[in-house]
Order: sequence, then C-alpha cells, then structure tokens
Amino acid sequence: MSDVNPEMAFPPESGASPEAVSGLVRRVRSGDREAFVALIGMYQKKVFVLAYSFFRNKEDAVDAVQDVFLRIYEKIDSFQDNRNFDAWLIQVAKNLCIDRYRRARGRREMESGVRVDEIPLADERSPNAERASNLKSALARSVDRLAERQKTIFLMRHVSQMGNEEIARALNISTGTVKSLHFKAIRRLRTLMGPHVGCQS
Amino acid sequence: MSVCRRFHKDFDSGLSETDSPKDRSEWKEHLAMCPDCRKQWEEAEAILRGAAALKDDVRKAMNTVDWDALPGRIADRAFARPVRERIRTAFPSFGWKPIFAGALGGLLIGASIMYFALRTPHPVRPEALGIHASGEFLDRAELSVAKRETIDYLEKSQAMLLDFVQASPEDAGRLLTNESAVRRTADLLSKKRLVDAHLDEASMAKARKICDQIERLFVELSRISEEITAEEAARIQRYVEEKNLLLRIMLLRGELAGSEV
Repeated sequence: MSDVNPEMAFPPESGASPEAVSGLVRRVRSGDREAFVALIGMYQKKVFVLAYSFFRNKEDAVDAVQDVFLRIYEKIDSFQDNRNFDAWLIQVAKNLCIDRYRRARGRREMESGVRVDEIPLADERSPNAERASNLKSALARSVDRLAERQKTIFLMRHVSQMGNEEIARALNISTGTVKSLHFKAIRRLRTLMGPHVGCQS
Repeated sequence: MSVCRRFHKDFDSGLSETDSPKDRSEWKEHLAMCPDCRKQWEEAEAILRGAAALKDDVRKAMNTVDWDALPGRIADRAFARPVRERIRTAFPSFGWKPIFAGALGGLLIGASIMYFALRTPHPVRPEALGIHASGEFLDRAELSVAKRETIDYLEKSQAMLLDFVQASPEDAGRLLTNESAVRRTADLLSKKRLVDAHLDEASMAKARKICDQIERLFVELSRISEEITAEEAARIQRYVEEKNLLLRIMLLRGELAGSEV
C-alpha cells in the first residue's frame, strides 16, 4: 500500500524552480498583474485539492482558492525571499480552510440543531454494492471527527498527497510530529469506522 | 486492542515511498510474521481505500472548474482593491505570535514606567527659554544663588540684631518699634520666604535651620506692640544671647562665603 503516488495525481502546475517563483513574487510586489496570474496558475489546483478535502464541495473550495490568493496578494510584501513559497502558500491555505471550515460547521450545526459528531456513521447493514460509497461517506464523517491537526495531516497526506517533509514545513512542526499525528489519526479512524474496516475493537 | 510496538514505529515506512527499500522490506517481513500488526495494517488499508475514493471526488470536481479563467478573476479582484490595503501589510513580518506580542508589550510598559520613575526631578526650565546648559551647570548655579541670597539675608539680620542687642533694654524697645525697624523686619520676613525656596532646592538643611530661628525671632518682634517694655526687650536680648544667634550667623556666613563657587 503506497499512498504518496510517484505519479502525483495532483501535481503542481508548472514544476517551476524556486528562482522562477521568487522572480514572479518580486514582479507581483511591483504590481505586475500578469505575474500574479501566472503565480495563481501554478498553484491553484494544489490549493483547490486542499480546500476540497476540507469542504468536499466544489463551490466552497473555489471560494477558498480565491480567498487564499487574495490573502497572498495582501501579504506578499511581508513574504521573505529566503522562505519557501510553497510552504508559505500551503500554510496560508491551511489556516484559511480551517477558519472557513469552523464557521461552516458552526452554521450547519446551528441550522440543523445537530452536532456533526452526533450524525451516525453509515449503516452497517448496507448492501455490498453500496459498500464503497458507504466507506467513503463514513470516512468523510469520521475525518470530521478527528482532532484538527490530525485531520489536517490526514487530508494533506492522503488527499493532497503531500509528503511528510512538505506537511512539516507547512505546519511548522517536525517530521516526527507529522508521523506521530498521522499514526494517531489512522488509529482514531479505525476506531470510528470499526464496522466498515472490520475492526472488532 | 493490543498494539505491537513495531506497528507504531514502522507504520509510516509501510506508507511512504520515500523511506528506504530496506525499511519497507523489513516492515513487510514483520507483517508476514506478526498477525496482530497484519490485522491492523489491513484495517488501515481499508481506511486508505476510502481516502482514495475521496481523491476520485476531488478529481471529478476539478474537471468542472474553469482553471483558465480563475486566475484572471482572482487577479482582477486583487488589483481592484485600494492600494492602501497592501501598504498596510508592507511592514516586515515578525511572526506575531502571542509570546512576542506579550514580550513587546511588557517591554513598552516597563520602559514607560522607567522613564517616568527615573526622569530628572528638575524639568529643564532653561530649554523653555531657548537656553541650553548642562544639568550640572544649572545645579551649581542654583546653589550659588541660594548661598548669595542666604548670605544677604544673614547680613541684614545680623545688622538688625546687633543694633538691638547692643542697645540698652529701654532704647532697644524704641529701636524695634520705629517705622524703619518695622519695615526692615517685614522685608526680612518676606526675603526669608525666597531664601527658603533656594535652601530647599539646594538641600542646605543647616543654613535653613539657623534662618528659621532668625525668622521666629523676627515674627515675634513684628507682633510686639509699640509699647514694648524694658523687660520684654531684655527678654528678647537674652534669647538672642542664649541661642548664640549672632555667633551662629557669623559662622554660617563665613562658611557660606568660604564655599561659594
């Protein structure tokens, strides 16, 4: 079982070098619109994948992509050239997604009167034909019940297909912490999804 | 659920393509031998199959987004914003974490307290007049003025007291009650207030004490009516002699004059 696919289902658009990215950042600072368009083009899908993994909704994910790049534009002057732009971008995206997700979850709970944690997982007695769909929806709901950092790491790792080092840079934590939190996320998911994964505990 | 310690330790090796082939092959060998780890690994695989299904959703959603138009739309919104929104964030980022903000706030409060606590007690008045001088020079000038004013006060007091003490009790009464003596007494009392201010500023406690005794005497004299008796005059003369007031005035004058700048 290999999760970080070498073919990268959602690769960065251009594979541009750090120097090229720095050049674009400098041009954006000086007010070059085309450079900003190019920068967005390079990273929009990567941000979308992260946002979609949080919201599982195309419209919300696209809105999040727009907010992320608007924030990047506002903060571009404070970006230090010696920093890794990818890590900075993912950090901004992650923070925005978590903020939006919290607001959206609170709204959903207020509207339905039911906490997300209380929504039952998929029915154990579902027919086999629906098993895959149930597994996906059960996983989606279980991921929502993870602690925030575990959830972020799980989604970054398995949906955005980011490596441990990249996640560590984006979250400003050590690779060891990423591994540990990832393991805890899997263990918790096994508990939450017991009937779906054949876990007896 | 019992968890083999190896499962926690090497779980990531089983997932990661970036770990060495040796690590992964060792992990696979362990799985073959450890039924507990194998069972948990299979359950984890089922979870990740669900994650793969989530990825399919993402892929489908991505196919419905107009990626060519999106960057232009975002750029239009960004560049349509007022320039000041970017200028406001143009300062270098210090990573405003709560600990830094707290430390900076504490530093500013501490610096303000120290400023008010330690700033010089003599506001530099000459600056208000456009005169610039060092604090030390101003202190010395103030001391010098205090000494001169005190010496002047002592001289005048001494002259008046000498006249009074050397006269007979009968004449002394007249000396104190004539118009000139009353005016001189009033002048000395008002001058004493000026001298007090100088002595306090220059911290000359000993001189202040003697001047206070003289003042008390003059206050007493100013209250005496025109019909001062010989007995009262004699009593005041005795007071001056008992307190060695004239001698102390002379000594203090000499001391002040000798130490004058």
